[in-house]
Amino acid sequence: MQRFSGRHFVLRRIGLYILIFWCAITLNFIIPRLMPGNAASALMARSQGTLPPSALRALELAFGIHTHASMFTQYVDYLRNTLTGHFGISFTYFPTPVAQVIGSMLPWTLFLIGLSTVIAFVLGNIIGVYSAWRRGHRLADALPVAFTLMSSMPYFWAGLALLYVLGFTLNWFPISHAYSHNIQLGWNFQSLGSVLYHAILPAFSIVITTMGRWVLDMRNNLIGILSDDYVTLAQMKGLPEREIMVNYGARNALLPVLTSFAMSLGFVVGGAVVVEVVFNYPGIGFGLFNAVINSDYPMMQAILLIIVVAVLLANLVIDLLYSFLDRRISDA
Amino acid sequence: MADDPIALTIKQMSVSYPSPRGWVQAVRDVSLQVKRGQMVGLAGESGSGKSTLAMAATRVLRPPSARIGGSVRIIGRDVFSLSVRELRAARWKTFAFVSQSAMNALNPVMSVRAQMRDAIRAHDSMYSSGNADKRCEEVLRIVDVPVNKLDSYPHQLSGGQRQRVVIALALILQPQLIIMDEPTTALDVVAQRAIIALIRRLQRQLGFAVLLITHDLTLVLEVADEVVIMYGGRVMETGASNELLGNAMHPYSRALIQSFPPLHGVMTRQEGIPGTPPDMVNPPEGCPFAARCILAKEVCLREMPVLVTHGNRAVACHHAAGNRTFGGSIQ
Amino acid sequence: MSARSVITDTLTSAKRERFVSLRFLNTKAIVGLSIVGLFVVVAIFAPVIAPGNPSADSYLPNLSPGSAHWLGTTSFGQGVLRQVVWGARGSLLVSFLAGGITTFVAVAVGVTSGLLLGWTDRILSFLTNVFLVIPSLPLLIVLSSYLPSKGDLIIILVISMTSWAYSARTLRSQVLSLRERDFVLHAKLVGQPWWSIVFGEILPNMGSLVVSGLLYSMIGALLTVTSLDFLGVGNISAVSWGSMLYWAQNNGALLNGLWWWFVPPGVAITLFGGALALLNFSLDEITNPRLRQRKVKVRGR
Repeated sequence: MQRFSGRHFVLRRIGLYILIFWCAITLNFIIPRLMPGNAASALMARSQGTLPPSALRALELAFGIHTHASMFTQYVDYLRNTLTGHFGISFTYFPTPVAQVIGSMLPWTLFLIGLSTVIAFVLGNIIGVYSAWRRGHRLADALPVAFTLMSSMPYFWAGLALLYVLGFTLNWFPISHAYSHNIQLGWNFQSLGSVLYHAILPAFSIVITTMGRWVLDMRNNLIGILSDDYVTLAQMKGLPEREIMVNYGARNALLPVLTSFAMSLGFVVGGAVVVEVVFNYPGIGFGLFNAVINSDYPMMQAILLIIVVAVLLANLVIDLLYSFLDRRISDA
Repeated sequence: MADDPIALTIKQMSVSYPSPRGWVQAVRDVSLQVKRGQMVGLAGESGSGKSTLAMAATRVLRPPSARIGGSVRIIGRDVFSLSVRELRAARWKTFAFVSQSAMNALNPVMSVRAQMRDAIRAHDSMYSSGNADKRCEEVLRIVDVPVNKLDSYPHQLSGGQRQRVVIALALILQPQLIIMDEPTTALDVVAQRAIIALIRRLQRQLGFAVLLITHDLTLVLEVADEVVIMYGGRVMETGASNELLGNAMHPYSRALIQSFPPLHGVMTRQEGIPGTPPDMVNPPEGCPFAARCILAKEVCLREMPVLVTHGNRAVACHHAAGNRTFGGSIQ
Repeated sequence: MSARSVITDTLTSAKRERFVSLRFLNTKAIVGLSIVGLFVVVAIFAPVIAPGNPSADSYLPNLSPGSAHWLGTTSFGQGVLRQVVWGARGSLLVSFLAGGITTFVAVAVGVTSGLLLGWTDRILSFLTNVFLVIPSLPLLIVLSSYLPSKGDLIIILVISMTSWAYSARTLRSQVLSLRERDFVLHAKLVGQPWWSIVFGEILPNMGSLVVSGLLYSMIGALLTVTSLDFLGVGNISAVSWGSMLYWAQNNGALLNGLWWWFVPPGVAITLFGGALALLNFSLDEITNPRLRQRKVKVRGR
């Protein structure tokens, strides 16, 4: 059997992700052209007079109307523009380029959603390990059920409820935006404190609603693994229980959990962007919402693409982690 | 040698565990002994209760997930009265238990070295990684696995190598008793024989005692000193291998011997034993084998024959010579 | 054991999963089923339970919950309870239909992919990967903002078309492992035709996975459609739990302290989704013996 190095596995995955990225770009190209043609024209008609001619021209290019170029030329132009980051001009923030607007929103989303997803994953797995380890105890058996119920809440509704109680009623937390408007944002403790303070409620609503998946995933996988032969052998070796739980149980159970984490990332991120809307958090979720309200089509499509890229990159990170945790994958 | 200390004594052990249909009486009143430096084979079909017996005797299986009766002594210590801490300390150091399908007994995400080291570390307060590594290399050499495999992961080893690594792992703390439950099931016949021969050789060299659990009666008859044959949770026949090999008394032992090809000698037509093992939720009143036994009579269905000793051996069968008289002593 | 008895053993063990008997139903399943049943009854008999037009502004606005209006009224003077009752219709419809269609697509793709292998499998697997990675909610938001009309049916179809990938992937790997099992090999050996193997041997053994996928898809569809409605890109002219949240959010329900406007629909969604999740939870316990049985191999001691 030929041995591949771990790098081959990762390279294969990168190839797959590039293909998927191409699909996403192409889908982005097709969607506006597939939609009933008059939607774009109607928009154009509606926009006459409100938008300067240069923006209209950009719109025409984006949707391929009033143009005599062939579909293929349009596609090539579109690909070139997209890959070089030329997503066009935002209608809402005219005449700022879309790329620039997204550049100012993206860090907030990466911070909020990235952080809370990681926190939820880590916490969820810890609770999952606990509930499998102490199976039969009342708390250990109740926790997975409780978190399962919590994960049935719409993310944004959990946000609404928290906002109402802790924000509006008790005034413990700020009710919107990512930092206090009284301060000049910079790399100092005051800014950092304000940013963290504003992130607590939205992050908390994402964490409590997404954690249930990982709790249940880890618990069920670990319970399965605890009756595997190598766990029995570890017990017979007289290893301390904690060591068995971590090195023999959790380390093996983590692998399938990571896979399903990668698989559900799109769903989690999708739900989390709506949380931004509830808190007027200035990330790309809120940006997407504003773009939809203002029919800012170039913005919408660019944001969709950025989300796809973010999820792809996160998948890549998980692949790297996976090939590090499980040597089998690099030899397969 | 009468004063030879005993490695393992199991006395009147009964084990039942719950199932959706009721309590499964997997082991019923079983006694056996393994002397120091001796290899004893425990043979029977799957479902005969042999693995359950081993798991209960080593406290892998314990209440409330099982009802356990009887007593077990390993190297002079009463297993059931050990505290959790004492039991953990005794495991692997006094007795090692290699459970079924050693193919999957190694943790796929840890290197061989890490899995050997943690066993040493768990039992040696003076643990140093240098000494540990030396011991790891030593045991790998004993079982004929290249030392450079220490940093391999299980999937990088062949089935035979994994098996050897598990045996090396069992030797690492020099236990006085090793219980092996079907250690070779996943291997092909040639590799199986090599492994069994290896175990036998090491056992003679290093002097530990072995309880070898297997469904392959002919195999244990060739390598073990003594053999215990179980069926339906009970001991059917015991005795020295060389006596049993040509002259099994119990119809079940004979059928079992016939259903496996001999390792040496002429190939003959093999016959399976017709029928299936009894339902252990409601075990039959009489001899458990009666339903499949060609010699079964009315008394066999009604009354469980007692285990009667005949010299060095014992058999539980109404047909075995002298069994219907009351002369035999109960072991 | 003879070769014949090995085969009959595996055959019977294969058939066993088809008849998961009802006596295994545990408390979680009973609670889950009762809640789902209750919501279905409420949705069907909405005109009987809360007669009148749920959108009509028939009462005084902004009334807090009391004996006259159990859940108060909205800023438009609509009864919140009546809206929640009628809203069950729209929300459950999307959940059941979109969940069903999603599962159908997932089974079709997953089973085809796992059975045919080769190029079909590669293409379908790739497609699955694409839809796994492209987050369906943002895609839906963009898609539905292009849509000229936003009827329930279109939303249902779009949700189904974008969210089948997760189940499809799980089902495919189940098919891959099933096709190597003895009873499938045996069926092939005795020359059963492919359709008989698929419908007689493979699909019945995927029952629990399919149902679990259906439950997940129903929860997912409900959460998705609620989010779409909340953002105003869904069918907000109809009364549903999601559109209630939209109107509450856009009329300052939080700001004005009208908690009874946005809490009940959210509670309804959580209850219904939670009931489905409970069913899934107990399904896991029923079909996975390791989760069900009291530990027989016990660690530690």
